Parts: sequence; structure tokens; C-alpha cells
Amino acid sequence: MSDAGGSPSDEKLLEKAKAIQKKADRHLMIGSGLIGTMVLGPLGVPSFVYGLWLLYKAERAKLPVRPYLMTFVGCLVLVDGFMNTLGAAIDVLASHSLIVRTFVMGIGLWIDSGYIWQFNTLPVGGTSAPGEKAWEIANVFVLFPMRTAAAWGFLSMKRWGLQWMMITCWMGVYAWVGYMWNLTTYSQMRLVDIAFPVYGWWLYNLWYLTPFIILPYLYTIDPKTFTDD
Amino acid sequence: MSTRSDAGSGVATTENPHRILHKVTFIACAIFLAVQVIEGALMIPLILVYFGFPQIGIQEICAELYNIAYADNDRNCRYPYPLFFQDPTPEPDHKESKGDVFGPVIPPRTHYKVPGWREMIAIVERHRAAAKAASGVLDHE
Repeated sequence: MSDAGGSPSDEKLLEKAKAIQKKADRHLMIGSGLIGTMVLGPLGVPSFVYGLWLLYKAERAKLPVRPYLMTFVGCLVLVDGFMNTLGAAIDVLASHSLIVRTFVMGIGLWIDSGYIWQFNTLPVGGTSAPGEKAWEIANVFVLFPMRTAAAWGFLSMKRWGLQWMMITCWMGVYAWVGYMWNLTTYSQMRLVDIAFPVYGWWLYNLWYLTPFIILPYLYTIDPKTFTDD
Repeated sequence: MSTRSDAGSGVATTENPHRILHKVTFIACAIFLAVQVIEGALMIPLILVYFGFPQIGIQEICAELYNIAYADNDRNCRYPYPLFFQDPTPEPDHKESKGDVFGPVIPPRTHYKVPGWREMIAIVERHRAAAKAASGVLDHE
């Protein structure tokens, strides 16, 4: 964002907007982080909604805050990143905690038996579905932390944030293709004898197709509105 | 829709040439974000309630899920699980596997007999001799 350079009242307005933006972003960050843990999800919603509401109020008051569409895009990737980082991390790292065993095997019985079939059988606990652990590790330790950081940079309107959003969205496309082919290859094991087969899987996972809806947007915004630092 | 170069002009007063795309993105983002937040916040409570919480405890649900997964009513959900467990054997492995129901336990063993240094020659020669003997028997017939 460019410097004020206007009348003192303009400067005051900008300062106010900046303070609101900062406060709102902090709430959005804490909220989406908590939502991403799944286990603490309900605790994150009030903070997250409060952050959005602060920005909504500021925009209604005609304060120069970040455009709402940009906030939604950034937050979507932020929540997506956190949920896939922490949500999959609980299966990788906390596969013997009571709540995680119950949740992961439960959702396995609902939509993807890869998450209940021989659960906790391999030396690295959690899912035993063929190939699944490799995707989890790659996503938890490489792709989604990068995506979360990129979303944060994007929300802070940094140039590197926009660039890394593009990069990690393309990486997300790659991960979707690879993950889907792995899932489909073993679909006879993973998508049968469960409560809600294929359609249930899609109902749950459709909402993580974020790269595909965000990429066209990222290429049609003005990079000059992002700061260089 | 006008050309792309207009988008980067940086003049605030010009109309956004990508407004339709941006509107679609906005609606999609709002829906996706709402569903993700709901999923993140409510998935675990929903699963617990589906399986009978609070009438039955989390540990009982967990044990029953193990029972289903391994078709074995004696499986238990050990809790609290020791943080630094001495035995690295995965928990369900302490019981006999129901491999006949679910197929071989992964990771599967291949049980290959790997030939040693140039041992392949002896193997092939043995196969050749066997083939020759077989064809020789056929010749005599």
C-alpha cells in the first residue's frame, strides 16, 4: 500500500484502518489456526468470525482496508493450509491419542476406509492405506506449511505473498492430481463397505479444490497493489 | 471483456475488466470458506455424536471402531497411551491379525530368492538343461 501523503485527516484515517486491519488479521490467524487443528475447531470459530466482522464493519465505514475478495481468498487458503497441515499432522504425529484414533477411524468408516483399514498397524502410525502416508508427509511438511505462509504474506499484501500463492497453488494442483490418482488406484479398497462412499468423499473434500478456483483470480489482479518488502 | 493489459493499469477509476471472474471467485470462495470452517469446527463433534456420544464414552467408541477395523471383539483402545512407549510394535499388532479376512497385512513380504553374484548363469543353465531334457523326452516319444 502506498504512503499517505495527504491531509492530516487522511493520515489519521489510514492509521485507523491499519490498526483495524492488524487487529482483524490477528483474529483471523488465531481463528484459522485453531480451526485447522480440528480438535480445537469449535474454539477457533468465534475469533475467526470476529476478524471477518471487524473488516466488514471497516469497509462499511468506508475505511481503506484490504478489499473483501482478497480477504476471502487469503483466508480460504489460510484455513485450507492450516486444516491440511494440522489436520493431517494429527494422523502422522498423534495417531495414538484417544480423540485422534476415534476421529480418524470414524471418518474412515464414513467416507474413506483407507483411514480405518489396518489403522495404526505400520511402524509410522495412523493410516495404512497404500501410498497415503507418503502424501501426508509431503503435504504436512512441505506443501501446506508453504501454502499457509503464502496466504499470510498475501493477506499482508506483500509481493512475495502473491508470488508464493501462485507457486503453492500450482503445487496444490500437482498434489490433487497425485493424491487423486493414488486414491483412485486403490479405490476398490478405500471406497467400498463404508457409510457414504464416493459421494460422501466428494462432499467432504470438494471444498479443498481451492487452487483451481483461486489461480485465475491471482493472475487477474494488479501486482502493483502489493508491497515489495 | 476487455484486454488483459487493462487490469494492470493501476488506475482506480477504470472498471475491472475481470469483474465477472472476480464475482464468481468471490461467491465460490465464500461458499468454500464457510464449508471449510464448519468442517474444521464440527467434524469431530459430528462423528462422536453419530457413533453415540455422550451415551457411550469416546474410549468405548474408539474400541468399537478397532473391533470393526480388525473384525475382532477383543480389541481395546488403550488409554492413556504411554508417551514414550518402550515397545515399538504398532498397537494392533499385539493381537493375531485377521489376515484371512482382510488380505495380507501390509507392508507385504515378497519372499524373493535373490540370485547371488553371477548365480543367474547356473539358474539359466539348470533351466536350459530341464528344457532340453523335456524336449528330449518328447523326441523319444
